[in-house]
Amino acid sequence: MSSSRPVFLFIVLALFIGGMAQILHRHYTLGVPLIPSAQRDVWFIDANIEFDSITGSVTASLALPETQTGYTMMREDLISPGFGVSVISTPNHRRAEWTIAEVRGPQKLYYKVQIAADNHIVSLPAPTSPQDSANPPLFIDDALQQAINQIVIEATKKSAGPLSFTRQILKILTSDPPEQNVELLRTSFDPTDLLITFLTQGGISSRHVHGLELEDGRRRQRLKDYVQVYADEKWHLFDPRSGQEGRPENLLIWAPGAQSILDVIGGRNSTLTFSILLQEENALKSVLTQLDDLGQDRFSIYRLPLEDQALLKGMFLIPIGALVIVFMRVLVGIRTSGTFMPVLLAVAFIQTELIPGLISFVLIVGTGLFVRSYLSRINLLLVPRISATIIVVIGLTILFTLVSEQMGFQNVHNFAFFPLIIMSWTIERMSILWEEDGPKEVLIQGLGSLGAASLAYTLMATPVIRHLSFNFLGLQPILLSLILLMGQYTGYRLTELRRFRFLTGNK
Amino acid sequence: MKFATYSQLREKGVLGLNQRNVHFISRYNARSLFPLVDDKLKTKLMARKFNVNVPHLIDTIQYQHETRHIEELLKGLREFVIKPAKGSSGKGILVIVDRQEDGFVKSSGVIISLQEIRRHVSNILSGLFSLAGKPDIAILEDLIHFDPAFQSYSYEGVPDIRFIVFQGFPVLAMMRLATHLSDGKANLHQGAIGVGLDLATGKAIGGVQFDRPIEIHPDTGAALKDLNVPSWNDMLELAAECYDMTKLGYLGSDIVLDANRGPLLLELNARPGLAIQIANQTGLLKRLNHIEKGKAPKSFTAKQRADYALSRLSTL
Repeated sequence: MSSSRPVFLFIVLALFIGGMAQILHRHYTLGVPLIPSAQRDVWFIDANIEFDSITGSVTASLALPETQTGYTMMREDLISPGFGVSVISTPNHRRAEWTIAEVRGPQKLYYKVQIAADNHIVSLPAPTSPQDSANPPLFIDDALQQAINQIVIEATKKSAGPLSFTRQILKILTSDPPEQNVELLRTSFDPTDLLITFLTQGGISSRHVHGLELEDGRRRQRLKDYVQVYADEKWHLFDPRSGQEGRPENLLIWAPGAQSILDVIGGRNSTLTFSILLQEENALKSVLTQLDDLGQDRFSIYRLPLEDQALLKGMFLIPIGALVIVFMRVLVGIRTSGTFMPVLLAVAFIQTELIPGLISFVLIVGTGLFVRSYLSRINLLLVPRISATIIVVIGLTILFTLVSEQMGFQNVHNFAFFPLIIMSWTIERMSILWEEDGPKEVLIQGLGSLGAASLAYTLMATPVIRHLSFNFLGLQPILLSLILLMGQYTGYRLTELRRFRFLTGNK
Repeated sequence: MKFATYSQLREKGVLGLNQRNVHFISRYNARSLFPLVDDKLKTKLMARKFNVNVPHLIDTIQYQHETRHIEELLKGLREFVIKPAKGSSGKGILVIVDRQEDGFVKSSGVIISLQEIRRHVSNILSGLFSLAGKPDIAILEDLIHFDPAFQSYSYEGVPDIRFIVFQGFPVLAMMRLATHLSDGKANLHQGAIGVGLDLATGKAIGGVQFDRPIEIHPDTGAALKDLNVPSWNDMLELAAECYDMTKLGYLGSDIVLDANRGPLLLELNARPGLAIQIANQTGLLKRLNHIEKGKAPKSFTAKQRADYALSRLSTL
């Protein structure tokens, strides 16, 4: 046995670490919360497309956002009276397309999306590498071209790579007061196009992206222009107006990589505005919805039919009860009637609530003991005796149910939740105990059983523990490892500290 | 003070239930050997094979139809004991001490008829007293006349001596005295008194009832500290022999001292209780560890092991 000790410890440790890893993975990577009441911010964003139809047949196409660092896409809806709708995936992004054969006058289309604000990223795709043709060149005359060349040469001298080059350019473009030819450039061109032109001249891959500033309660919000520079296999965001680097807080990048955000063929005066609402949602609910949508959560019990879920949920709680029993018997040293009877009792308490459950149990077992004392006088063999007890218990269950119904109590079906066979065996054991060791021992074991059952119930009914056991299968190997460890505990039980108190010379 | 501290018990070398179960019973007592001690008839037959003294077996009754001819079995017997082979906690033991015109005299003085004996045997066979109600065998054996040295210490029952025998070495001993509370049975958790015995001399160390120290037998008024077990060396040797017989490494041997035949093995226990430590005012671990570490030679005979316990273990 001593030679297998390292193996045993390894198994215990492996179970514990494995379970812990699963829990941490689900929490930190998938975002399943550790407490049931955890909330997370969810942005409700409506993209409103408005245009006037002129030709009758219209195709409107909107680039759609994607899950990105800090934002996880959840649910999206396309709302459009009379339009045919489809979502088209291109290698770089997705587009929603509304089509209709005959419509005239002002039109409104909606794209609604819910985006969770968190840091959990569900397998974010690798950033797309830049395509050279992405930047349409600006029309620039010779004088300006010369000014640009000069600035590029100046910036190149001071820089050591794409990012520092971009910083240098932005420094020059946003300097206050500006140089003369920079001022000319600034008045002639849009800052985004201008920055991209400089970057293209400097041989740096960049692209024009659109960002939506998320702010609670905003309406008619518009997308803002930003520039992304590709370096170190990543896209870096720059604000061409302020020169600020990095993504501001609460900025959602809308469809990076899209050539255009909104195309309307057959319409004019098209506008794209956004209304934004922030809501706190139950984190568990929104994470599960999201995982389900993404097909990421193959090992969740939530994928099963509701009936099976209920069954499994009950099952996952039993190890908690078993842990309580092991703890009570091995570490505390409490005596219970029947090893796992208290666990089954605790399961029944979940249905009946604790106090009504305790009362019902004591009523049935107490009355059952009374009837059983007659059975023991007529000298029955074991199996017939227990069979008789079972029928007596059924009779008592019906009797108490009817009586409590007559007396106007609620939850009259409380009595029916206790497992019949367990009740009968409890009565049998208690009765034998009474005859052999007297009522005191019955009281000790009875209270021990009820105490253990109440403790198991308290744990099994605790929202956090229920939540953990349903959502993190990793809890089970952890419980198993704890039970294995306690199985090797050879120290004193709490009750032994009292039992052997006279051995130490203290009287 | 209501509780001992953990370190106090550790220091005293007290063996706890968890350690007993994990470290001693499951390590030294092979499961397959348990039936040998759980069935008193098997124990008895095995003891006879190994020339270990036991109360003389008169007969066994196995089938219900045999109960009809029970008077033939009892013919010529003035005194006898009928007990279930698989009974626990001293249940179902019928002790007849005399025979009169109108029936059989029980040890309590109550007179019962042959018909009542027949029903008692029938109950034994149907498993009324056995664990889990399994069908059982009734054993008919000689009455034990316990040594007069114990006369003032027992109330209605036969006092026996429990030895804890570890790998063949007796390590602790305790006399168990029936009380009115224990209903004549020698079971500590039913209220019998345990008296710790000095392994070197067989003299009383201290008494315990319901895990509390006690000095005087509550029913007879005898001072427990004056208890002195005669034939001590023979008893130790008999206890040691039980190991050779059963091969159970951690064993409880219950031995009675018969006035005529000397020490007799009454029954064996593969899961002996721990109250014996309270009665002896000492923990088991020091002696168990001494033997486990191989400080006592394994090649010893039962006699040598008994001597070793007497001279060496008693000083630990």
